[in-house]
Amino acid sequence: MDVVQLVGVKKAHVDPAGGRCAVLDVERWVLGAGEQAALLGHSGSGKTTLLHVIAGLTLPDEGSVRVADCELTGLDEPARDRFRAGAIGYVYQTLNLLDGFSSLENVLLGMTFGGRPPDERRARDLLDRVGLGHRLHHRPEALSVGERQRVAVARALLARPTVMLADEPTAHLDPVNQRQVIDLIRSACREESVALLLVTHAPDVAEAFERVESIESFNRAAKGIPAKEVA
Amino acid sequence: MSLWAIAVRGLRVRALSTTLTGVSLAMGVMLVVCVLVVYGVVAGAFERNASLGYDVIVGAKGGRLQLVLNTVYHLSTPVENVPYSYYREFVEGEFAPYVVWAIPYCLGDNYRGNRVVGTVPGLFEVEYSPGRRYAIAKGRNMRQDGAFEAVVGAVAARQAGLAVGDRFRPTHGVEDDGQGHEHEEFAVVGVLAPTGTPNDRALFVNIEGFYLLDGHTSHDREGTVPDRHDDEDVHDQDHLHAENQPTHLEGDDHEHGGHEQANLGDHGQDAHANGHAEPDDHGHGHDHGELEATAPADHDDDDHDHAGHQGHDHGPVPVEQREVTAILVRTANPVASALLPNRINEGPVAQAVSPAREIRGLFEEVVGPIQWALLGLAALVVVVAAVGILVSLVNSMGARRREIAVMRALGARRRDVLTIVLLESLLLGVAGGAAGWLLGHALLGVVGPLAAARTGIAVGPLSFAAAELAILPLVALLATLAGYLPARMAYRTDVARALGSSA
Repeated sequence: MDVVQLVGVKKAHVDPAGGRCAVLDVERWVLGAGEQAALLGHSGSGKTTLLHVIAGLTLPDEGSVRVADCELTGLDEPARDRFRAGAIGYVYQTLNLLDGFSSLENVLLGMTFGGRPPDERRARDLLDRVGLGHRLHHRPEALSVGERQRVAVARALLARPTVMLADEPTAHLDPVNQRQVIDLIRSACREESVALLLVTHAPDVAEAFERVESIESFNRAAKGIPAKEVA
Repeated sequence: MSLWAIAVRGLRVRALSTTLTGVSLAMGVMLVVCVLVVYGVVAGAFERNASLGYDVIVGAKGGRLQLVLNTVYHLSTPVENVPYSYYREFVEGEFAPYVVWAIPYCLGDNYRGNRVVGTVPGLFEVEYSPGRRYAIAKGRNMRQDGAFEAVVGAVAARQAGLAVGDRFRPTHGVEDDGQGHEHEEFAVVGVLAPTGTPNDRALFVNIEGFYLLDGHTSHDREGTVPDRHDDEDVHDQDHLHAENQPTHLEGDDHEHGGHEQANLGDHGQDAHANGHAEPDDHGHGHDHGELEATAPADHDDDDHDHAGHQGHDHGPVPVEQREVTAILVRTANPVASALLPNRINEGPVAQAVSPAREIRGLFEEVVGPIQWALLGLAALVVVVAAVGILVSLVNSMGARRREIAVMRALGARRRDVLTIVLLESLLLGVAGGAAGWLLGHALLGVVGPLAAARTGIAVGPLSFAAAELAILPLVALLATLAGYLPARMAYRTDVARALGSSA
């Protein structure tokens, strides 16, 4: 069963000159339940826009986006926000965490906007599982970059999402930490039965995945277009 | 975690900016609180002081407000005097039918900056405002024949360090400027309980002693040698209008020719019964000059309690040499209250003013507008502080765009982030407002005693104004409005761009 299904999705940005610049043109792309996929692509190839479309942060100009059996293009923005809070976990490159909040509080933020009561026990368990059970009350500035990414992973899993989207989560990590974070994300998603879509421009990060795709392979807007020409 | 908690954390992350903005708001609110409280207290004091035990003040023609200010508030300089005989008209003359009681005031001296009032003991036996009478906290009232006795207001006693049994020398002039010469000693025989009126700051001396001081009679100023009147003359001047005089003012222990006297100033009865006095030599370094040259020669001090002034041979000052600065008049009825001022004002000697009307006029025309202007300025400070909130939050928006985007990616709706920013603004406003409210009352606690000592208007940290109830809601509203622009910025944050879209 597919948890993410994109059909005929097109998305264009308006460039400074007022012209439209195609970013996504995907005829069909799917991600199965519990599946883990790594998406490779150079900078500007539409990787992040693809994640935003799947997360419901932005709507495509055309096409269908189904996530966890929900057609996102049929939802208004508040409904997509609420859907995202419950069904999608998101990990970014850096600056995932909010200053002024402890590790535990940052994780609990993962359930703050979903309309469900925060599950502090699960938050503690998740932090323990990512190796930060002893740093529950540390603020982001007291954590290393690798530790912050682990907190972000725990937060992304708190609401028991269907899909985790990871946008270059190891971009600012050294190779050792890169490997640890990738292994952590994968194992955690596997244990939670959460489908994982990780985008990266680094082949060595993607090599651990069974399914590795180049975005150019299914995004016609990115094929043969130099990165600088894509908005 | 609630949106409230997120808002609080947002403020804590920007602790310095939050503190500075909150302090500026608190300062503004502090000013508003002070102005409101002082306004309320002053208005209350004006209202209370406008409600006097007397309804007419009579004094020399001239400034009506000045007459009220220096009679009721012991402020400004005294107006010219009116003859004592004019005062007698209220006691037993043409104005007597209109009058329940009339009390003379002689002004022009001070003791350490507090006004000295020459008056009669009867002042402390009538109401100083409706239903309220003076109470002697310590000691007793001055006696009719205690020419150099004094009763001191509560604040004046405290400020001057005077207690019953102490003596003081009034200084000529109403300001303690070191220019006036010192008079003879008066003995404090009583200290008044606080009344909450400007009289708390005054020292009341027996009018008989007041007249005996240098420069306090018309003859002193004119440089002529006065003739002492015989006993008959002086006794006459001391008769109060028996029909209208309150019982407590009528009569005393002295019987004179079989009639009761309202004994307002019968110092030296025996003395002037014996005729004119010879100059005395009391060794006070103060020459009574012409006045004493006419004093009774064989004045018998043993019969009088001169309250520390023993050894002097003062006789009462003849009526034509006496003057009064003001006469406090309690009219008999509303008709009298309406007619008496007209009759007085039609004459050439004096004017009659309604203190209540003058006080209200002063408040409405002068004090009120000034305080409204102060309130306006203070409100402006609060508005500027609210703009500070806006600037602070707008400035923070650039740095917070990513934070807002993260929250949006976690499922926060636009209205959630809008609410969070508005809550931050609201919290800042409420915290700054509450701190300002506390600071305002703390400031009142610090400056209140100083203000009370200077003006007689009691204001302290626990003085409150009803309008204060509106401060926090208004500040909260203002802060929320100030937070609306940055909240809209948060609302409109482009999540994809803020998350560093590389598209």
